[in-house]
Amino acid sequence: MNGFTLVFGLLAGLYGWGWWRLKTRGRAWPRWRLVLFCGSALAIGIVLSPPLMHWAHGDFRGHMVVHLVAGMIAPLGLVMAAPVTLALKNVPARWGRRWVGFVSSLPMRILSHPITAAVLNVGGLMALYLTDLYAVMLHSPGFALWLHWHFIIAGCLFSWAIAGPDPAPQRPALEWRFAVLVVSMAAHAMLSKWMFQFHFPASVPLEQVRQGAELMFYAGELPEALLVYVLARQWLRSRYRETPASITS
Amino acid sequence: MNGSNGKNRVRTRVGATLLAAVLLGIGVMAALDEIIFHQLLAWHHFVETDSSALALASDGLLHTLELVLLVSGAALMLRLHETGQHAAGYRGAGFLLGMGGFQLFDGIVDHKILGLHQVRYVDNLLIYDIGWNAAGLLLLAIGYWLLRRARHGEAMSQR
Repeated sequence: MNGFTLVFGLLAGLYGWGWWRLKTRGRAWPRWRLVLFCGSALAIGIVLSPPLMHWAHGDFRGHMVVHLVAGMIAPLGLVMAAPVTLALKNVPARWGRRWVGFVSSLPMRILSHPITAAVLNVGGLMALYLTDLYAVMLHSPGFALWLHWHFIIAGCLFSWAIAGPDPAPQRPALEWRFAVLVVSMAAHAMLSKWMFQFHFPASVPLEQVRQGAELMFYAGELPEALLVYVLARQWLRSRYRETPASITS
Repeated sequence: MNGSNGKNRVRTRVGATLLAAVLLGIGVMAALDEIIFHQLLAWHHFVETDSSALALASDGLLHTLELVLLVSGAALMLRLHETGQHAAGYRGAGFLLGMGGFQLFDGIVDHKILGLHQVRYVDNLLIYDIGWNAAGLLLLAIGYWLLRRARHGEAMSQR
């Protein structure tokens, strides 16, 4: 039991409660979203449980598994489960207006801009692996803890900024979000190739770096491909609408 | 670019169907190239240099674009099928044209004009070059033949 299991256990419980509340009032909320949210919360709880964290601390491959799950895959699941929309359906309407006011405020608009989110995400990774920060992290438990939270939150922020289903007024145009996604995917792939070839982080044995970077290159594509798919769907839905079967050519 | 055929009741989109199929063809051919020749056989890498950072970066970008083409093509094709707007007969044609087009582009532009890498690092390279480009031409030819059949309404899926 640690802070991560506690927080994500509570969040999953809240989501389940909200889902149950809607269901008993006869309002539909898809069950796959409940499964997705609880599964993602569970995944974070597992990879950040003490035994796995211990492995990740001593082994770069373990660290990479934690990064992929807690920083990329699980945040995508959490965001695609639309927790804010579910919450807003469960509370009075004035809370919804407050939320819209909050995300429309200038600081939040800057923070949730796709470019900011991408820089926090991939830029954070570059700072961690290409400098001595990784070695600093291994010797400073407080910094390591903060980094884990940074990558979970930055991962959620990025998924939401690019293709999140939750309400976000004044989001940049779809083409822009697509471009930011492609650039950050390429940056992720480049970073893993540089790490593989030029031995970053330098404080880790080369064999571990190579296997970790390979994992980062290949497994990192799964959540990226999913994001491309979600974004492409949003675009195509408006472009190729359902055509009534009665219309003849 | 909207065609129609007698059986379908909704408007089919020839241009969009061809685009989706070409994207899928390019993506699949690039993936096959990467998986078979780069990784399994290890004949060549995208940029054959002394591992400069820029060469690796170009490889990362190429790989990303291939993935994006593949997923976007799949999403578009799926959407066209869901809405019944896919133009039957043009899918296979576009797919083979995309595959052959990429293979020939890779063989002529990447290998010969830009000189990024060769097919295989052996003495008798000509055979490999001919084989590589002939495969691309063959795919293009079959794709073009399928396209003509589709235009004349003679494709298998149009009957």
